[in-house]
Order: sequence, then C-alpha cells, then structure tokens
Amino acid sequence: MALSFNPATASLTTDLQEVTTIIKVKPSAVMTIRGYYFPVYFDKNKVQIKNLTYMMGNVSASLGQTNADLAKINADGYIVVQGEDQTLTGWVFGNTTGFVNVISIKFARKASGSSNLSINKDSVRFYKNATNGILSAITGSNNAFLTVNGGVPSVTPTPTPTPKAGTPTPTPIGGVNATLKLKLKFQGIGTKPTGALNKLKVRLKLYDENTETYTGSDAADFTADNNGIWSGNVVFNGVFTTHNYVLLVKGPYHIQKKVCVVKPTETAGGTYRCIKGSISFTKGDNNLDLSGIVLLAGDLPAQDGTISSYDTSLIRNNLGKTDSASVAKSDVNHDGIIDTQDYSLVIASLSIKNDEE
Amino acid sequence: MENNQSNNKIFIYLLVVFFAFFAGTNIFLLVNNKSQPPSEKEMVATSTEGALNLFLDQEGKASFPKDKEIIINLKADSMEKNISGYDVVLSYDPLAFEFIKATSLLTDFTIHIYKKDNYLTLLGTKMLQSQTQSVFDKTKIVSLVFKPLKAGQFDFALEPSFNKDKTDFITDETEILNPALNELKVEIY
Repeated sequence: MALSFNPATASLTTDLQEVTTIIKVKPSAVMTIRGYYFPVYFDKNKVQIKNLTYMMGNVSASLGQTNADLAKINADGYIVVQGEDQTLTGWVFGNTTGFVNVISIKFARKASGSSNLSINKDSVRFYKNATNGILSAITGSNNAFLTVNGGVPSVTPTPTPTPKAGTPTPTPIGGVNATLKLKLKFQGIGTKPTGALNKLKVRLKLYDENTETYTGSDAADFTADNNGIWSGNVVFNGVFTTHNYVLLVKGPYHIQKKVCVVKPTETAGGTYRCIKGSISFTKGDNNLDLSGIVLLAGDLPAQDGTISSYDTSLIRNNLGKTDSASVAKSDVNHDGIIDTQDYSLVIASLSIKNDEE
Repeated sequence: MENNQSNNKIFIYLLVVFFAFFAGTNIFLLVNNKSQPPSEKEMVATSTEGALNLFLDQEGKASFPKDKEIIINLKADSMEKNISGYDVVLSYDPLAFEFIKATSLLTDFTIHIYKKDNYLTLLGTKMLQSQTQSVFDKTKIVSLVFKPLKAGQFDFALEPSFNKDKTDFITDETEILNPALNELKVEIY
C-alpha cells in the first residue's frame, strides 16, 4: 500500500494559520478492504490538529480517534487513524493506478519552526478480505511525510518500550498487589475442550507507561467455559494505582498480543491494535475482559516470538497424530488431533508473524 | 653364442615392459588430468547442514544499468534431507534497491514475504497436499526482483538471523538445518 499526503508540503507563516491535507492510499493489487489502521505523528510543540474527517468508510468506534479526541491527540503528538467499511462488499480498490482518499486532517501552526507529519510504513495495516473469508493485513510500502516550513522528512518510530541502554532504571518503591481476573479468547477454539485439554498456560507481562519499564511477568493456567471463553487469575506485586499500564498476553501456541484497555474489542478477528496503554489497577481484584478480541495462533513450542517455517512444519509433519506429546506441541485448536484446521489457523496468522511489543 | 642370444631376448623383453609401463603411466596421468573439471568461479557456500546461495539470474554478469530490474535467485542444497519449510533473511540497501517481488520456483511451496527496513524475510511452506519429496540439490527455490535506485556497488547478503527472524531449512522430521550462506556484490551504473 503506497501512502501519501496531499499536499505534501505546507508553509505556515503565522501562528494558528491552518492548512488541510488529505492522506491518500494506492493499492499494489485489486482488492477489497475491510478496515485500516495507522498512526500519524506530528511535532506537538510546532503543530496542532484542528479537525479530522474520515473519507474511507467510517471511523472504528472507540478505536479510531476523532474530533472528540483532539485534546488527547494534541497532547500525545500522534493521531490513531482506524476505520472500517461495514458494507456487504467492503471497500473495493478496483484498480492500482489511482490514489483513494482515506482521511482529511486540518492542522494549524502552534509555534514557528520546521517540522513534519509522518506515517511509518511498518505501522500501517490495511485488512484485506481474502476469498476464504480470512482477513490478512497489508503494511505500507513507503513512509509518508508532509513537511511543514521546510522540515526534514523523518519517521517517528512506533513507540516501543525499549529500556535505555546504560541508563539505570529507577525501581519504584511501594505499590499494591493487584489480582488480574482475565477472560481470553483464542483463535480456533469456539467451545470447551474435553478433559486435560481444557487447560492453557498463558504468560502475562505488564508495561508501566509512567516509568517506561516492564514491571512484572507471570504465567497462569486458564480454563474454558462452554463458549470457549478462557478464565484465569494472576497476581502482580508492586503495581501503582496512579500509573497507566499495557498488558502483554501470550498463549502457549500464540503470538503475543498488546492490550491497552480493560475491555478491548474488534470488528474482525485479530485486528485489534493499540499504541499507548491506559489500563489502571486497584488494590485487589481487577477484571479485564479480553474476550472481545482474538489471540492469534502461530508461535508453537518452543516459542521464539515469531511464526516461522518451524511452526508450519511442526504441524505438517505431525498431521493426524493424537499422542499426548505431539498434541502438546501443535494441537492449536485443542480438539485432540493435529489436523488441517491447526495448519490453517497458523497460516491465517502469517500476516502478523511477530509478537506485538 | 646361445647365451648371448638369450641375454638379448631378456633385454628386449625388459625394454618392452619398461616402455609399456612408461606409456601406461603417462596415459593414466593424462586421462586423470583431463577428467578434472575447471575450477568453480562463483562463490558458493556449503556445509554439512546444507547451503543457501544467492546468484544473479544472468550468471557471469555483475554489472547492470540503473534502469533495468535485476533478478536474484536463491539456490538451495539440503544435503539429501527432505524439506518441508524454510526461512530466509536477506539484507540489502533499501536506498539503492526497491524490492519488487519474490516468486517461488517450486510449485508445491508457497512463500510469504515480509519487507522490513533494510532486510527482507521469506517464509516458505510446503503445501499440505504435496506428497513429493523436496530434497534440494542445488535447486533454484526463489526468484527475487529488485529495481535499482542509484548507481554504485552494493551487497546483498543472506543473514543467519536478524531480530527474531532466521535463515534455516526445516526437514520432514522437524529438524532445523542452518545452511551455509553467501553474499553477492552487484554494480549498478
């Protein structure tokens, strides 16, 4: 997907002077799109966003940012653009020659100096409707920029929590014990597995947005109800009730999912994405209902944080097996046999490939 | 007199044996020398866990005009092992080349392509319905097309790993092979 700003340059000579740009996209192939997601970064000290108008489908409710979020957008320095087309056909790209408007952004000068608006191609996701009904994500083919007052095009990387090398991280003192009571949904498991198969060990990790550090990790056993919703508890010590957190969840056959709110939702399985965590905890029990999103399968034991040919081969080479050792390694949907369903589940996740961080 | 004639016969016999031995040795050395192939000029990597090598589609040519796309192929050797999947990490200069496409040259393998900042990863999976053996013996497995963006001399290199991505072959016994890898120099003018 090629992305561009139109216009791609702006000259703002006075404060509050406004300009409107449209972000456009051109597909690499004829396809039908169900949804899209990308953050647009800007220098919050030089520019402020005044208006957003989605032009492709509609904004994804409670996921994509709108004019109601302008205060947060201008405080954060980025816009989360997330939209979808819920019509029967979806958004059809009938050719690969023309650019299509995605969103219009009006912004104004806040202070003098050069800056830019940018889109990092690796953060871009367009969800394509495949013939088998499975959505696959397409990333951007280029970084896109709008330079303001001669700014140098540069990409703001997706804010990933990387500890700064050589800088000792202060360990917060105090905090409370928080019990996370979680509900999860795993790709391909729609009912309660039988017997010993009704148990999955899930690894959980917290990232503290305030201190920019990982504050704890633990694993817990989860069991499913008749609807395939998995429940389990995990206790984290030293959690600050005033801080915002990201929760990272990794199932035993799954790629890690980053979750930023206590009850995330998505319109198509596996499409939920977020940037900044806003989960806050209280002392004692904290309910997090993640059953509105699906944890995608693909990273089989021994896990290495990515879906590779080892994972697809592990299923292919054990097709039809029902022994406990084989099932423990590659029975993704927990029905007691390694079969083509398990293989299809992993193949369906290949558009994501790596753990979310 | 009879003794002299007998000595001459022995001498002639020894002379014939000596010449026969001399001629035989020369013929053997000559034949042996001719049967050796000319030394291999392309840089290839091999190991007991197989090999994966980059080579240009137009062999013997390493210099290309800027306005023409270049095709680089991947040649694999799996040391007689039957392969059910492979991963490839290929680094290149994205300011010098635009990646255009990758195509599986094996009809029963599907490839998934992931374009990263300065490298490319490929994930090859053997189709479930395929029952044929996939033993790579200097087999061309993938064709890659790049569009040059600027002139200069540049490297394409197969990397053992990059971040979480790796280069490997997976056998039908789910054994991981770490093949020997090479790199390729390309000049664009």
